[in-house]
Amino acid sequence: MVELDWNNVPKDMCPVCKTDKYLSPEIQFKINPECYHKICDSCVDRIFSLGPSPCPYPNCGKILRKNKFKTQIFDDLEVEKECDIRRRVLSIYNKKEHDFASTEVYNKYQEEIEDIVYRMLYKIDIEKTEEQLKEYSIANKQSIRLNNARRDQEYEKFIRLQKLEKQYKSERIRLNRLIVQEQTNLKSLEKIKAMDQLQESSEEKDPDAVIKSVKESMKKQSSKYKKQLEDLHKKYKRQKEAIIKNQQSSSKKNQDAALRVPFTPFDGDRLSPKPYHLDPSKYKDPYLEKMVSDVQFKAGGYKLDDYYERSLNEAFTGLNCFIEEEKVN
Amino acid sequence: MSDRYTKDRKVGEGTYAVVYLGKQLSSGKDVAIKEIKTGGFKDGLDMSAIREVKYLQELSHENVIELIDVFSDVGKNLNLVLEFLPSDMEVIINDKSLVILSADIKSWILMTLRGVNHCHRNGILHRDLKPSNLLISPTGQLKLADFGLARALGSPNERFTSNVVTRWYRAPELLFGSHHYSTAIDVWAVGVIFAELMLRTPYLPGKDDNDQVVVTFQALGTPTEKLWPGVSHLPNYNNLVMYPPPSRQELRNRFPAATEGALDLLCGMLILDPNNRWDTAKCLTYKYFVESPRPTEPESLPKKVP
Repeated sequence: MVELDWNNVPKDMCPVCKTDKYLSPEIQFKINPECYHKICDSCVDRIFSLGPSPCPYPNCGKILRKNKFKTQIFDDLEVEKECDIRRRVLSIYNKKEHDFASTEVYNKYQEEIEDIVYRMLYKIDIEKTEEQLKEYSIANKQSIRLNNARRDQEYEKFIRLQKLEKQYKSERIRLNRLIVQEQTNLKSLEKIKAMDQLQESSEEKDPDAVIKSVKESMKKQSSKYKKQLEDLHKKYKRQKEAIIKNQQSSSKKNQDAALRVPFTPFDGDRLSPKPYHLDPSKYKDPYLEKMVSDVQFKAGGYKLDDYYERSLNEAFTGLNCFIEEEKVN
Repeated sequence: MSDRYTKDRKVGEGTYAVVYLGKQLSSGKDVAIKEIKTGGFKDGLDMSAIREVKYLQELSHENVIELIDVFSDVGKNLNLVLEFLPSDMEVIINDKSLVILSADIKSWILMTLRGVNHCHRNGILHRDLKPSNLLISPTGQLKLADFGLARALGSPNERFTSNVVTRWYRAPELLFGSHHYSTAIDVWAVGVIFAELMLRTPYLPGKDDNDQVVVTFQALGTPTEKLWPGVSHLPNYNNLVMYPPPSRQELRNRFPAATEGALDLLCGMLILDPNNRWDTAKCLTYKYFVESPRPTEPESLPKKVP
């Protein structure tokens, strides 16, 4: 029996259960980004269903988890690896060009990203690189979150646009088909009608006029659908613009409003006149003042003047209010 | 009762009240009707209900929830008719799909401070400021709600309880058990909310009352007699671990997105000594609110899409 060469597993064969594509064509291969060793779907189920286990490849020993297994997208594992690393780095280094002051700084940033990806892919200075990635993610925690959220929103917008376009296209095709169908229908119908009319009509009717009227009514019918098509197109354009504008519009509106109204910190809540005037230098209550001079009051932040204010407020609130009159109004 | 309002559906239940969504028949406006449970209380109405009515009827401000009406129905239940506000800050902070910009935070803090300023101007302490009590109207206006713990500034011979404000938002003088505090406790709570908005996670999440003391002073330094004269005489000032106050750079690292103006305001609201802590008027006139970016208009603030 020939020993399996684990370093060079045949392309269409699972090295664990030795099943291959020839005997079971529905075989699916999975890989785990920990070590990128190829294992078939049923082996993944069998080995990893009960929790994390070591990779079955000899001399690998990495502990793998079932939920991390994924279908291989690229034939070349190197490409697959690079894409995974790149995705990971870009979810942290996620600034866009407009976040930078100049193109040069942006280019430098991109260079840094490429360096990191390269070093991680070929395992050069892996610890130092990981450290660098971690440091960056801590230092830029908030902007990373913001940018990721922005990207998600952008993606959502894209999906919505795509959906809209799809809807628009299918509707357009439907209408176009209706137009064509209606036209052929009409043509055959009108032909019969025209013949009938020509047959029945006596000498007083000009055959040319009959044909003309028939053609006119035909045109009217199809133009009804054409108009619908135009409306549809307009509606689509409008919706598309609305989706694109969606985000910018709110910030723009905000700026306009800010320019019109000057900022008022209290929003008019400071100047309402009080029905009384308190002169703190003239009002002295020796009993309360002695009490308040205690350290317990001082340390707690107690303010006697605020209490005077409140008491006066309480005493005067409601004066000059005539409930009966208000009720009438 | 029900000739003026309808009770449509139950939207929430607290310890002392059930909240219904209803409609004001005269205007067709949505309202929240808070039905106070009276059955279980031998000594009459619950204190919170009385407080809520007493103080809300004194206040009328864009950033304070409006008490529209009070009535009692057949079962002798007391009903408070309040503005219906569908969302709150806690929901917004926790909804990670929403992107919060610094201009949005500025707008929310501005509206909060305006509301608190209105209460303080009228001599009323809210005493329970926290994100879930900052409600958001459909037009984006932020409104202070839940005045169940509110009270008026009292005379010096009244002893206030220091067991107020939800733990994470409790000012240091309350942690030390002071019985004579003032409007500064609300400013502290706003400061902690401000920090929470920037971090999108609670700033000082103490696990219990003792842990709250530790967490607070780890973040902001332990107060000393020099920083806060008289602090050592407060009832619970003992057995403290001394933490140094945070340096400016440490704060910058903790709040990387905050501008210098935002940090100044935050530090002003979180000054340990209540006598030095900024009051709402000082906060509102601080340059943070006029520097760029301008606070977002309420209508365009992020909100949860239903």
